[in-house]
Amino acid sequence: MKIGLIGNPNVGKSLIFSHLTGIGVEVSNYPGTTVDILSGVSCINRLPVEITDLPGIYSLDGESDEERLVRDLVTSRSFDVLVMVLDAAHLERNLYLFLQVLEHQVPMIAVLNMADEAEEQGISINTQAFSDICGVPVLLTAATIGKNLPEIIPLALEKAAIGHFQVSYDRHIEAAIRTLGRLSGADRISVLLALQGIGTDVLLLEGAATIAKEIEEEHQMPVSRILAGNRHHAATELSKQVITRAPVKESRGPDRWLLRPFPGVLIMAGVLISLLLCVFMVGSFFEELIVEGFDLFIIEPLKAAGFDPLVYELLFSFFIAIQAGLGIAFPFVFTFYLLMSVVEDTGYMSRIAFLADRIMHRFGLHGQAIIPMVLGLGCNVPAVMAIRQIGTKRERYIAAFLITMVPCSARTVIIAGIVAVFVGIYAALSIYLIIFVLILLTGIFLSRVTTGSQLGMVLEVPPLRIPSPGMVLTRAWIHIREFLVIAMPLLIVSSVILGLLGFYGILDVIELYTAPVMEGLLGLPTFASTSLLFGILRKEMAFETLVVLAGTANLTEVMTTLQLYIFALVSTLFVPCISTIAVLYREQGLKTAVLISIYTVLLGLVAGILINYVFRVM
Amino acid sequence: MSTVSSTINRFINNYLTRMDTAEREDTLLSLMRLFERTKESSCSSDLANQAGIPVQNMEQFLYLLIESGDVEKDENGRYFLTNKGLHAAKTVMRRHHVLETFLQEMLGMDHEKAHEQACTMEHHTSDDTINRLRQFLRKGRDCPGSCQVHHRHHTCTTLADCRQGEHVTITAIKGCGRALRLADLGLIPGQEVQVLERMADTMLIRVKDCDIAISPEIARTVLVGVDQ
Repeated sequence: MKIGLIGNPNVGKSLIFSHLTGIGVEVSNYPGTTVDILSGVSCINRLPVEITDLPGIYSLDGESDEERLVRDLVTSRSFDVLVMVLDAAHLERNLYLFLQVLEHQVPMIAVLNMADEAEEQGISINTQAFSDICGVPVLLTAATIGKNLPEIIPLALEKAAIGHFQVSYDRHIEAAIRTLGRLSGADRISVLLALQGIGTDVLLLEGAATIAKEIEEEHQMPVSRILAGNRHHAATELSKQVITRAPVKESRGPDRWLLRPFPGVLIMAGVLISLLLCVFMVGSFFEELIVEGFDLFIIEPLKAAGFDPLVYELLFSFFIAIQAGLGIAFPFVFTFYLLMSVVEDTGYMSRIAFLADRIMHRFGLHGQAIIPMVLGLGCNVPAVMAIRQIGTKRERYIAAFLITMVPCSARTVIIAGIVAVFVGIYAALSIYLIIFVLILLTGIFLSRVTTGSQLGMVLEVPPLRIPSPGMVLTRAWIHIREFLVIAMPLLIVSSVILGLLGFYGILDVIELYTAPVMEGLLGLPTFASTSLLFGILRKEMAFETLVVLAGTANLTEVMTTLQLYIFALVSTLFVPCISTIAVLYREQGLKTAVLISIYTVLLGLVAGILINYVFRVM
Repeated sequence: MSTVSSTINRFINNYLTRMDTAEREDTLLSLMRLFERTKESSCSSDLANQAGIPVQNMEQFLYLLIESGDVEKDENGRYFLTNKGLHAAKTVMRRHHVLETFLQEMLGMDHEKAHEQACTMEHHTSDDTINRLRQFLRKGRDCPGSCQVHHRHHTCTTLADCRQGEHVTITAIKGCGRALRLADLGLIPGQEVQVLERMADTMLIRVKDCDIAISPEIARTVLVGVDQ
């Protein structure tokens, strides 16, 4: 028995899902997409029921990855029963998707969630009337307080029905449905999809294309828009029949402050800065614990075990990679995403997108692109993956460049560990300033030279809500999973390779050849090139390697403050880490990945050389 | 010797007093606009200012226009359009209007660019083309507003022109880029919309009780009528 949860974004679908399935949730990427699908198993009357949480969508006719995926799953009858979750407080808009799902003639039930919110707004819904009109069972729930949730599965198993409500479309569309139905034997929904160019039946598509062209000429409007209009009107009619509204005083709550230029922008800056500070404080505390624990229980025994030097080098590189990965993954990245998930689940993220839209336009991007950029502060890997969500190829290209320059938590460790400690807090802040100015300039430059079209943002701003702890954890886990799956294996492989390079003395050769650049232009000691090389592995390792090679944790003994400053700046800008390059390659192609790597190397070197010369001369 | 110099003189005269269609029509338009503003005949220096060309050239143009019977000079040395000239100016104005509407409404160019383009195209487009374009535009939709040439008025009000707190009704949606996503969110002709906030040109609107953030370039594709 398979049940699919379908609905608009932000209707509490995921919360219902986690209530129904409990622990043991499986996250899977659908082949060919980066859309995450959650599925879990629940036992009812000793029968296993597989429940799948489909991504939130606004329409079944759209062209986005999510919409296409859900449509494919629904048309291929992948589920025995669909549970359509609707937001009772915004029922009219939700009915649009509901009417589309009804057309697919799959057994379903309607769950009107957020009943508590609707009640507060003076909205009461006649579920009996609703059920009578549509022909499917209707259940009123409130996921946040757990109301009626246990009844969902039994209702879906026993009472799910194929709805009988039909949207009456424009007469030309109805005529097309009859004609094409007669010609090819296709049902109503296949014809509707075919009229919009969706489907696999070549004959039907051909016929539909001819008719669609005529209809479009007649109406001066694409078929999809005619259908949307008809559905919305049907939804309005339907909602009028089932909703009664008691007059309540309208209030916009905190949005009155959050979405004004003043003080909204200040609040946004405050939220982001305190978020980063929090991540850094919590992160460095746990990082120390993990790294020390690792040293004590694995590295030390390894050193004492007395292996053959080559075996030792391999094992050492392997464990050091795991130590590094865990040391950065859980304390920094996981904390970051935990807090980020809170921000996402409250609905504040879309408010940030709104506030940032104007400034992002200067980079040839739009508000939605701020979301991956902010995610990039945690780790660039999931951030680059999140680029898929934004608009056109041009926008993705620009965003990829900018995101790889965003100082992730590993780079924050370098800046804090070297500059803040040995040079001073203002110097550390100045590095951030330099990076952000460079991001700005790069953005402005790219938006001038990159060809392609720009689409703006259309983003729903959901009501502010209190996030549920379970949901926050799941979301944070999904993000960290990407880091672990992609970054960790690469980290281990490249650590072993670098270990071997060191073992066979190749690193010394590299040091010899890069010495002119290091010493002459950047004014850094020669061993800095090795630590920069390790920095490609994982940014923070540039710092650790430097300490190892310098032979002392008190870096001021071997390097001047200027050298430390330049080292931090160069290694922060210099090439994204290997995992980011890999994910860039996967998401944006080889050319972009190479271009970005070269650009950042040059940027890092030029910035370092400039600073070196300016300060030497002064 | 004298034949050579007279040839040169003739050449210079011809060269200086030559006027192409664009210059002729722009001069007529300048006269008409200045007259509409001041309600009196205009002097050549004001006209030159209006058109943004040297007074000397303007006087030459006006001389030629008097010769062709489009302009007359009154006793104070000020210039005004004859009926023939006024008719010609209005024709150019109409061409500009149609072209600008087409560029803006159908091709989705922004107002400024459409205006600039229309300013150059208006002189070289045949009346037949203009009539056909007009037919095409009419068939497409009826635009409630009207564009006054060279004035900063949008042809139609778009969502981007709305003030905070304003209630409007969508009349049409231009282009096809993200139109479907807009339709899915309930932005369809006939739908009432409330503008909640404006952050620069980014709009936060309320449609069917849901709040939606929209970038300026998209807000400009949504034509609206103001609710009474």
